[in-house]
Amino acid sequence: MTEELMSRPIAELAPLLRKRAISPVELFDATLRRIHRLQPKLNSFITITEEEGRKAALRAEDEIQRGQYRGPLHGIPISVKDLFATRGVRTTAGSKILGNWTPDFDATAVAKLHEAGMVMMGKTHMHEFAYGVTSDNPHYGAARNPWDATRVPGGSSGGSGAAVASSQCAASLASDSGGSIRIPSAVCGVVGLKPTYGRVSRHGAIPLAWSLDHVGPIAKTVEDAALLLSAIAGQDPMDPSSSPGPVADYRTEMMGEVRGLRVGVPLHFFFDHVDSEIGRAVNAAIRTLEGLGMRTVEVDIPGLECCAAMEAHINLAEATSYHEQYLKTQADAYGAGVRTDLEAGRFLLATDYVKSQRARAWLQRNFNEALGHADVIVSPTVPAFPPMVGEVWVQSGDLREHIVDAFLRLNIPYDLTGLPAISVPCGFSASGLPIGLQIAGRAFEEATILRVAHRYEQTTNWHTIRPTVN
Amino acid sequence: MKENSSAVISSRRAWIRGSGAGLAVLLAKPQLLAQDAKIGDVLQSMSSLTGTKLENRWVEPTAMLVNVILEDSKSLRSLDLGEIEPAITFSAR
Repeated sequence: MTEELMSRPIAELAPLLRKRAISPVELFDATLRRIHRLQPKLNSFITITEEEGRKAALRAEDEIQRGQYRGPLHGIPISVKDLFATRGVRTTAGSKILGNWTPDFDATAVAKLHEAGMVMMGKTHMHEFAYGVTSDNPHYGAARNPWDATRVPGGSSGGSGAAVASSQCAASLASDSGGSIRIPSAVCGVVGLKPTYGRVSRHGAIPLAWSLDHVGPIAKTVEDAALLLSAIAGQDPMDPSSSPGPVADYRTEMMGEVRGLRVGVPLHFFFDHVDSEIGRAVNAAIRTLEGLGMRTVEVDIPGLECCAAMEAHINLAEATSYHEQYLKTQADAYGAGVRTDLEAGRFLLATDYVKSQRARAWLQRNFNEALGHADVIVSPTVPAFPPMVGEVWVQSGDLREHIVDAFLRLNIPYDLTGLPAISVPCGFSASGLPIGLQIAGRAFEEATILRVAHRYEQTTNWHTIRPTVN
Repeated sequence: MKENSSAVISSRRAWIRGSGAGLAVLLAKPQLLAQDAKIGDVLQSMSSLTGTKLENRWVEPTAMLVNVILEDSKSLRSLDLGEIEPAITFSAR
């Protein structure tokens, strides 16, 4: 099996598997060899599920041969962020505390992917308890960026972003509470979709902050992201926040017309303090959208300057609450950064937490008003390029800032409001680092953002460029 | 995209993670350092409120982070949200 074949998206692999031009076992073996080759350099996985994956590949091969084709994910190598419970497979959440936990159940989204016939390649590396943006993990080492292995792949789903970009899997299941799907997708040059809050069940995902946590796919193309979303979306009685709304055929909906759609370009905040190369690439992307017949409109959204504070109060308070028992019994098992965050969560005022929850309702109204004048809102996904592993300062245009502030800044408005947002590749820096375009939309209108993202993607070739990892 | 004329150094989440970066920024802003010390004293005295005692080695980084968040919260705290209710609401099932 050639490297070129392994670099193809799911939408191209699926027909080959269905008509038995390639075997799921062949694809699994080739992908596994690639994982073993790249693991020492990129450290994308915490656990490689060789035995389970092979069983799934053999089962898929048998079923497809007998005509029992489950759909486009059948026999496809997919990885799962180590945040999600996987039955019989160690689930660490990137932590020492859960280092020996083997769940006896699958997270709902994982179960749905198994039902769809995925071949699980492994549990991907992540920032400890999803509480960070670098995937530099004190217990499992640093995950690395396949475009430049001296740099971070972003986080907290850094292993997922890197694994997809370097074709160690065709797609990955990931989570996003402050950008953890979109950040690694942007800095690893792949597609990452944070759906509407409640679109995908959170059951079985170790919480970071219950009211901020979202589950979604990282994939090579928008079409692949649409395929995964269709597989994992839907109401779940085990997740009280999950939506009863109908699940669309996102791949079909994605093919709709974009001419005449209004693209909102924020007047403030989203384009402030952005690296000039990133700004140029995103502005060029906006021109491309205009060339496709979409119309740009300026939008102004009050309250964005309060997002950092809102996120801090909500995230820290909810995370510390979740970790209460671990803090009592195993506090020294946390890495220093996460420990500091958790300790700080004890000292924030309840009134500030409630104020933040009220302010986010206000922010939702402001976004909804803006989305009455625009069908989508665009921006850079992150304002700076990823730093070297071990460094925490980045340059966002004229602003030198901590990587957490930089990488959260343009993402958290959509975690706070629960609105769907996707990151797609829109170019590269002069030094070869990927740049991400963020497209956000109305609640439960994933189809619209997928449509715009897909049409943009198909008009360019950024998504076809893959890193060379020696 | 806006042009910005001056370089700005932000220490908004200057956690000490085994590097001197956070300390260097604090030294450049003595008022933050003094504020951190005050907050550190407050945090240590709050054990009866929180039910746990903050170990000495975690006082400084925790105080730094709390201070940064409080600085960030000025706009939020000044918002007049009228009758707006919290985004997460309870419902009886």
